[in-house]
Amino acid sequence: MFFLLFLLTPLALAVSSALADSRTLVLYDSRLPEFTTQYSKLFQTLESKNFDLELGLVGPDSPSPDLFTNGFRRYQNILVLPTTSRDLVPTETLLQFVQDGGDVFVISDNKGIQTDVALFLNELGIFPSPKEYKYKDYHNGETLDDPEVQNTVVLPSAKSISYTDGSVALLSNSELLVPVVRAPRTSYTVNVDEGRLSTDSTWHSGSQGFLFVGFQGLNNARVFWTGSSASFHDASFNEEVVDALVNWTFQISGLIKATSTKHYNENGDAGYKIKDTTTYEIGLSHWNGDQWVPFKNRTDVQLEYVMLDPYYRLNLVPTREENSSQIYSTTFQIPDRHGMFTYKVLYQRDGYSFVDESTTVPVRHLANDEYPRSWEITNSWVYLSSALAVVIGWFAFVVLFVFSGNKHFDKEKTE
Amino acid sequence: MAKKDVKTKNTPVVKKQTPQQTSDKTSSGVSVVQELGNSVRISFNSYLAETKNNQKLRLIDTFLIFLVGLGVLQFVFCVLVGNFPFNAFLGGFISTVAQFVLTVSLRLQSLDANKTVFKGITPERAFGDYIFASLALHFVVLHFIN
Repeated sequence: MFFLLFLLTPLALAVSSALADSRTLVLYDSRLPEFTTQYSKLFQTLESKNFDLELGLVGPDSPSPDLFTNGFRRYQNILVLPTTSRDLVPTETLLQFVQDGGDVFVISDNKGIQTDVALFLNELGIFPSPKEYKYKDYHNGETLDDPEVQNTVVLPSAKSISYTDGSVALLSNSELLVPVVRAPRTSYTVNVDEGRLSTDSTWHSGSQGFLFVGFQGLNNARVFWTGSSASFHDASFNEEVVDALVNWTFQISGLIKATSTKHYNENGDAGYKIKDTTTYEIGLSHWNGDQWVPFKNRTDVQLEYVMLDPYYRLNLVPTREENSSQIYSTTFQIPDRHGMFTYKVLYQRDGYSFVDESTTVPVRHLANDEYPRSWEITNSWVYLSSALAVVIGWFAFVVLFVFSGNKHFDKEKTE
Repeated sequence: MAKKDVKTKNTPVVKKQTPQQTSDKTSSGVSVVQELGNSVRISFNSYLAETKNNQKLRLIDTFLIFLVGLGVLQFVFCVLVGNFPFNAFLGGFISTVAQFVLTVSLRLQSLDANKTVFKGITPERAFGDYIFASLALHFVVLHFIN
């Protein structure tokens, strides 16, 4: 078997950026108590992950920090702590930052949600409750004993999460959102200034709200929002949760990449013609925090064989491991249609970085000497024999015509 | 001239038959099938009588009937079994049709009644044309059937 078509794909962009570039900007309101005294454990956690931290104190008078120099991104990550500062970073700049592949982690609470950041989150489909709206749950208090975790890739396990001074977000139906923790059924958000409970004064009620929400763009840039700083605070530091969330947002967990894609013709030809049997293989790796390991035990990796529409959508089956990647493959027969076909693997699962690999190949029709001859098809024997019968009958007719019944012609001639 | 003689000879025979049949009708009642059968018989008889002295025409007609039968057979097979492989069907079917057309044209050219129409075409020339056209047809059909 020849492996004539062998294509190596470059590493996913997000992966290389996460490992090579870890410059992190931490935005913090200078009017609130010192960062180091309040968030020292968070600080240590970030340091231990080898993030190159830069503290950006923002106050009423401080200029907004530059995220770009000469059009180049200065940071890979931004961590926004609760702030009441009026001008932090313009919404457009934040959007541009994410569009360029930067990751943003926003922690707000019921007092500190900054308008520009809120508008930025709104653009992504996350709608945090405004200032003065407070998260309340009279059944469970301000601690989630059994949080309803929606995505275990982002947050593998969480026993108890403190959610004091919380705000809650409503979500749009964007497919790029990754809801992580849903608000409990007994909770609601109410405007504390209003005093009276009404539909106007509540932001969410029951499980329609979300407390931890991720977002992953098509460029694999990640944004995370949570409505309470309690877990990040020294007083009630929740290392498990902080670790998981920071890892996910700053591209350490939930990272997968396609290491290789390969396709070949089962009969060994270099190209493809209709009805050939082809095999497609893709190698997937998973970053475990230290190194790339095979991305195993997936049953939902699918291959599409597309010409305008998918002609096939097939489940890929894990076959073997190769150089720290798990090879998923499938073998199928090319449809009876020639043209430009694309092998496409679009693996988009909540919490994992997106894998989008496509290879386009030409599929030719049969050459004129590759069709079966008519005598190989039993149906045509009828037509063949009748055509032959016509020839034989005609020959007999001609012979008889010449040698018999000359009366008429003879008479003509004599006349 | 000979033909006219034949007709005059035969007409009485036909006429003889018709009174018998009409008497049959009256006795057994009017039947469409019977009437049709009668007319077919009459025309067949008249055909036999007409071509009594012309074996070539009879030979041509026999060949034509053979071709029609073969064509119908293929068509029925195609309808029942399906038209794959279509080129073979076309080749087989069209070979009968085209051979039929060629043979009919040979028949037309060898009829005495049409002598004025095909002035300057001798029967030998007509037959030669027919053979040449048929060979070309068979060549094409065999290649088309593949």
